[in-house]
Order: sequence, then C-alpha cells, then structure tokens
Amino acid sequence: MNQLFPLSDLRSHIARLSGVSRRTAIQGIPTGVAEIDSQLPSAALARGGIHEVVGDQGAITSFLAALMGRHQTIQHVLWVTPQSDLYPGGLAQLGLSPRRLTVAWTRQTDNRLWATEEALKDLPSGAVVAEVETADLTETRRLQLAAESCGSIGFLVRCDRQPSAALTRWLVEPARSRDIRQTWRLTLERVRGAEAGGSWVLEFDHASLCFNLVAALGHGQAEAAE
Amino acid sequence: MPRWATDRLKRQNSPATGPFALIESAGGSFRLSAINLMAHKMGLSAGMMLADAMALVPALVTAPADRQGDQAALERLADWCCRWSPTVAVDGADGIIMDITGVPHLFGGEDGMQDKMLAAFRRMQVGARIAMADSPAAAWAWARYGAGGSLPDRATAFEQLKNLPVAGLRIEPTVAEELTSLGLKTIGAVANLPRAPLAKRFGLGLLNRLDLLMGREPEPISPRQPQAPWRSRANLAEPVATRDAIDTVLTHLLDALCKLLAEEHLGARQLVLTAFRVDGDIQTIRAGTSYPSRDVKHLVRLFRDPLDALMPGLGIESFSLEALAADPFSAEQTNLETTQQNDSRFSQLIDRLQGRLGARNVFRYEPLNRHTPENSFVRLSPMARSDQEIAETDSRPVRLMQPEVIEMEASGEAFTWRRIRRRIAMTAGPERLHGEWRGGGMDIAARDYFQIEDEVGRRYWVYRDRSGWHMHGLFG
Repeated sequence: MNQLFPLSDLRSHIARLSGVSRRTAIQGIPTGVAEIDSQLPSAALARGGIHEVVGDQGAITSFLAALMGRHQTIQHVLWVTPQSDLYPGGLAQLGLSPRRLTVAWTRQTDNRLWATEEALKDLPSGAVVAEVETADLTETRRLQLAAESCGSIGFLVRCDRQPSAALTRWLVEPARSRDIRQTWRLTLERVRGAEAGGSWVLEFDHASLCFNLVAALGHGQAEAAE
Repeated sequence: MPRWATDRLKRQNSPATGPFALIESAGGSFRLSAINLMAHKMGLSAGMMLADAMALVPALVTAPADRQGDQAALERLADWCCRWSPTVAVDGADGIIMDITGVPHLFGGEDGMQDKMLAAFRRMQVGARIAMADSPAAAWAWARYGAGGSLPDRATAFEQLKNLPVAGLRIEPTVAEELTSLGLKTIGAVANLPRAPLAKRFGLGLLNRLDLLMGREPEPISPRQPQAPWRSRANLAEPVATRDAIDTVLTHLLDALCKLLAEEHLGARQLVLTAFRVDGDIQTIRAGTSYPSRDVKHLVRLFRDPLDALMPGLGIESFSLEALAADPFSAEQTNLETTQQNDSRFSQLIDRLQGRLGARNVFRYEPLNRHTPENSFVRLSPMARSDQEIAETDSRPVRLMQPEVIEMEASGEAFTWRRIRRRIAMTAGPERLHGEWRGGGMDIAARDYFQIEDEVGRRYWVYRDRSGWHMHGLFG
C-alpha cells in the first residue's frame, strides 16, 4: 500500500520514537518565520523541553523578549538572572510587558539552576528564561525532565557549549540593521535527534510584533556574509 | 527563681563551684547583689558589704553583676515558658508569671504540671519555686514566702496566706519594715485591721495590694507576646531531633492550623514555627505566602529550606505553629478553572522562590512614568496588581546599566567603551531627557540620548551631558 505522508507527520513520528517530547509534540512557540520553523521537529520551539541560547547577551535578551512578546498567550515569563540590569522599558517595546514578567535574581549558579527547575515544574503555560551561564549534562537533563513532566518551556542562556540534554541550541548575535531597529543573526546550531540547522538574519516589527526574515544565510555562511 | 542571677551564670559554665556572689558598686563601696545557695548557707546575704562578706567567707568568688543581662535572660526564659501556656509575662527581676486557666489538664493536672515544670527547671539547673493560685498576687506571695505548690480556692487559700510575712504583700521594703516595727508581722494581722486607718497611715497602695492578694480586684497579666488567634501546638512525649520527625510534626501542626483557618474561610499569609529545645533554647522559623493558602503540602514545602537552619541539638520537645496573618480565602478557590489553578500554582512557585532567594529578589516591575529612565520602574512583589500603563517613549534598551564613561572620538567615527574601540555605523537621536524636580532642585542635568549601531550591529544607548559621554544601555 503506497501512502504518502506529509514530511511534518514523519518528523513528529520520529520525534515520538526518539522520545524528544513525550507529551506535547505539537504545542510550542513558533518564530512565525516559515523558513526557521520548518527546521524544527514540531514546527516550533517545542514545549516540554529546554532550548539553549549562546551568543551576545544584549542580542539574546532582545531576541527572547521579542519571541515572548510575539506570544501574548504566555501569561508568565520568569527571568532568572544574576544581573540587575534588565530594563522593562525596552522589553515592553518588544511586546513583553512588565505585567507578564517576573524576575528572580540571584548570584549563585546553583540557586539559579534550582529556581529554573522549580519554575519548569510549575509553569505549564508560562516560559522560563534562565541566564545560568554554565550547566553540565546532568543539570541540563534535570531541567529537561522537569520541563517534560510539566509541558513547560525553558530558554537556557549560557556561555559555553558543553554536552547537554536540551532540545535545540541557538546562536544569537547582533546584525547590521537597515534603520537601527533590533536585528539579529540567528543560527540554529543543533537540534536533538534531527539533522537540521541554518542561519538567518531577522528583524522585528514592533507594530505587528512579527519577525521579518531579512536574509537566509544557509549553513556555515554566517562568517562569510560579513 | 530566688537565685536567678547566679543560676543563669552557672548555666553558662561558670567555673565557680564554691560560694559565689555577684557584686555591684554602691556609693563607693561594693555590695553583694546576688549570692548562690552555697554562699547563703555560709551565712551571707544579698546587700552585704563585700568587705564584710570576704571576712566571713574568704573563699568567696565574685563577679560583677549584670542586671540588664539578667533581665534579658529572664525574658528569654519567659519565651521558653510559652510552651506551658500562651500567656506569660516577666514578673520583677526574678520571676515569671503565667495564666494557666484551662491548661493543667494537658499536663496531667495541677500537680502533674508542677512536677513537669520543676523537672524542666532542674534540667536547666535553675532553682525555682512554683505556686499556683487564684490571683497573681497570691501566687507571687506563695512562691516567695510560702511553701509553693497549689493553693486551694480563694476562701481557704487565705487561711494559709495570712501566716506569711507582710513582705508577701509585695509592698515597698520601707512600708514592710514600718508594719513589722508596729508589731504587724503577718498578712493576717494587717488584714484584720480596719481599712480606713490603714489607708490613712500607709496610703491606698497597701489596701490595693491586700485586695489583689485576696482576689477582690482583678489583676490582668499582660502577655509578652501578642497572641496570634490561629495556632496549633505539639508537646511531644519524646524529644525529636531528626529532620524526618520534625517534618512529620510540622505536617500535623499545619494540618491542625489549616482546619482552624478553614472554619473562618481564611488562608495563611505569615507563619511562625517555634521550636522549644530540651535545654531551654527557643528557635523560630518564619515562612510567608504571597497569596492566602491553606494547602498543607504547599506550606510544608515553604518550610523546607528555612528548616535547614533549625538546630535540634539534643532534641526538641515541643513546637508551636502560629499564623500571624491570614486573609480571606474561600474553599472554592482551592479548585476551580484552569486559569485560577494556574494562578495559584504560579503564586505557590513564587512563594518557594522567595523563600529560598529572599522575598526582595523575586519581583515584577511597575511603571512609574518618570522622565529619568533609571527611575521609570519600581520593583514590586510579583503578586501586586496594578493597571499602570507604560508611557509611550522613543526606543528604550533591554539592558540598562550604571552609566559608564566612554571616550567619543572628536570625528564622531568611533568610541571606546570597556577598552574596545567601536566604529559607529549609524546613529539616531538626540532625545533630550531632563531630570526631575525634586526638593527644589534638578535631580540630574539634562541628557541628550543617542542610539548608536556599531559596524558589527551592536546597538547602544549613550548620552551626553555636561560631564561628557556615557554608556547607559544595550538594545541587543
């Protein structure tokens, strides 16, 4: 019997087999840019898992704020940070209003990991941004399990690229803009259980809260483009 | 506690085993302010000149008196006594008084309670005499001048009290001396006199004391600690020291407390757990919630981290748990639609985070709409609600730092920040922001803000004021 399956069905089937997301295969946070979402197993940054982000701190902050800003259905965003310089004025202009944002501040790395895990266990419809800086495989596995059990989503901002149990890893860097608005070079470095990747330049439309694709750079062309 | 001042030093492992006295200077000479039992047996008494005492007992060991320390220690002891009854007060320099109405049956009757209390004091090596009576004044007299123990009811109690010396009336020593010199040596002798001449000669104070003693006038005890209306307590048969056992007790206490709160449709906001250790030490552990709660599981979790600080030592023999603050919380709130469920789940998460990270370190921002960017937001508790809208402004950074001086090149082509030269590719601005009028003067001078994009695409928020160029934030 010859039956044709759409590619996305196969992807989610594979995802289920490889145990990437047991509960929530469909839900997630799409970027809204088809070229990027098509690279992701559930066509979005999946819930029930953690996603790693490396790169420039300012660019990461504004990119994640814009990503949460796009999705007004995310009621609570918990931002775990060792810094005290998050500025709600700028975050709100990207769509993340102070009403949806809660900050947990602590200098100790183990406290940040603890807070992140607690939050992942109890924010089924929220999101956690955790500036953990560094975490080992065991720690990321704990966080991944916490997210899986609750169907929550976490973004781990880190400085290193140690082995990890996260679903995806992204490199976020600033990019030259056309009119001094926020513009990022986004590189999908790793997708767990899949061969996927890519590099794109995105800008954000503050009025419609949408990412616009400025350029697709393909794999490994990030450096060459500059 | 007739020997409180010396007993408390003995508890602090003072080396003195023989006759021991505390001394204080009075009018150029030293006098004994307190002595231990041994010194008492050797014929010394408080108030004696030190020189006389040394002549009588050459081996006398002395230490300076510390009345404030005595009083502070007595107050701690009173706190510890809260295990017997919630209404406890310090009485003078050497006594503690408590209201035990309705309490003795918990400890096996009045006699049983006295035995237990005496045993506890003995363990602490504090000499004590206990009296139970119908009025505080009668108990005071019976503990200090009588035989101690329980006095019968008011009518017959006086039969025993009347033989006590007049000092048992708790009157000024000079008045007591005067009465004695008149041949009025016992309370009974004074009570038998007609009231009017007594009042004329010694003032109304004496009559008042007499009335208090006989229970004709009420004498309220003002308790040391304001009592929380919601409390549960556990007196344990065996002291506990392990974390498991403590957690079990805590769960029981929370269970009982939540039932009390449920009767009044309340949820706890602030909880205090008090642990009474075998050796007389008291420790309190606090937990707060951002949302009224009587979810035992959640409340137990709130105590998990703070309980790490509890030091059980040789064991804890009693606990009390109080809700210092509670707010209305209806039963329906406990299980409703998903959004509300998520809300309470979120607030419970916040409680746990605040419990470990500190309440002030978990917060949300509230717009204040001030001109200066650093004062535009204030940190609030995550559960605080408000509808303040953010004022429309030009682009604002996502990270705002303490202003740092930067070197702007005269050509305007590049600037140096944190030792790195950054070539400017694009700028926008200026946006002029003024300081605020506060206390009659300008808070900060006017600043001209620019958005700058460098050649890699990093976007900065810099400003220029009278003192030069500054880095203030990053757009990312």
